[in-house]
Amino acid sequence: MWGLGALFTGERGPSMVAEESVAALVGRAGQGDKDAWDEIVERYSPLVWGVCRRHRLSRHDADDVGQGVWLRLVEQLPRLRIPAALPGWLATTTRRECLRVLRLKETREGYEDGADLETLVDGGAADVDGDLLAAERRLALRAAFARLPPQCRRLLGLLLQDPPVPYSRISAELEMPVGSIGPNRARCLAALRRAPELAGLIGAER
Amino acid sequence: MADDRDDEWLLASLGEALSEARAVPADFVEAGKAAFAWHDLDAELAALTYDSQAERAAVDHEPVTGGPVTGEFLSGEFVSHEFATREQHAVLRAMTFESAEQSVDLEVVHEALRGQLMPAAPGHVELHTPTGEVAAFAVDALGYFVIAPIPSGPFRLGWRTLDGVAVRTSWVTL
Repeated sequence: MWGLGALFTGERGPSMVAEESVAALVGRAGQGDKDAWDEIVERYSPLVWGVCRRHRLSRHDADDVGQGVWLRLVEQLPRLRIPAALPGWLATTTRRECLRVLRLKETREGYEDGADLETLVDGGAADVDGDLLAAERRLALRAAFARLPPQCRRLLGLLLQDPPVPYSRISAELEMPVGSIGPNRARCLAALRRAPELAGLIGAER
Repeated sequence: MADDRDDEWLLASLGEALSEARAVPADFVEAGKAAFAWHDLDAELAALTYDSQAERAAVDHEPVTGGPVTGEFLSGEFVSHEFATREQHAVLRAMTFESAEQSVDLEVVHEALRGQLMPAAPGHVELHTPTGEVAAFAVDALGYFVIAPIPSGPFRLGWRTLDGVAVRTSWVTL
């Protein structure tokens, strides 16, 4: 059984190490650091993938777009003038690649639903900003979640399952009294809220 | 202090965030990581500075005004210049890649890619594809080269200047 007090006392442990800024990662990757590159790809693949999905690309086309975006980024790494602007660059570049692939399809096969492409082209610019904001928020949430104590991650993970896991099973799995689940949930969420990654993001939205 | 509604909202947002990351196929992420193999600190990058397709896309929606049909009789048959050019000689797309000192002009013609390095750097130009395949094409004394067939996917060209500097174009897909 895990005591509540013990959970939130220490500031130590690997999960407490502050997340490296995207600018620092870009700098290291530009110097040839493969680990920094892998971290960039891990962090931002959901953004690239999400933009592809919203353009309703097939898996094959999404792969093409992903490849094009990452190849371009490798090439541009030493030249990104504002490394912190990477997420914006990725969102815009991905969208541009999606439209290129769709146009190519239109030319080669005759796009069956021409109106769709027009909508995507015209309504797209605003989408990029929306994509980006939402993607940054979700990225921050994942980073904040990653720094929670393992027991919190397990508890919240179980609480998020669909269909919902009964409290009796959560209690058995985590060796936690049913009556503690509610208070622990509140504590874990409070810890999540305090994570530096979420500073400014949550307050701004509610 | 956070109330219950805040907690509900935060938990739901976290759920979305985690499932968004889970939805990304693992090999999509791996392919992105693999792209780093192309990181090349030493090569000079020649970036795309002109692309006829970009120009054309900009005027794509403007009505085309038809000029008079020109042509000639070949073996007794009237062949429209437009047709003949389109089929064999016309430049379907023209591009220029430039770095500070080097440039390459590329023209897509019927079933081939014609290029010229400036300044001329006789030897070979390499055609790189994302999978790591490399094909070499001869460059003549004036810097001309021909690549056939036309690459079907993304590619980049690489060559060495007379001084031995490695130059790479940015990636392009035709």
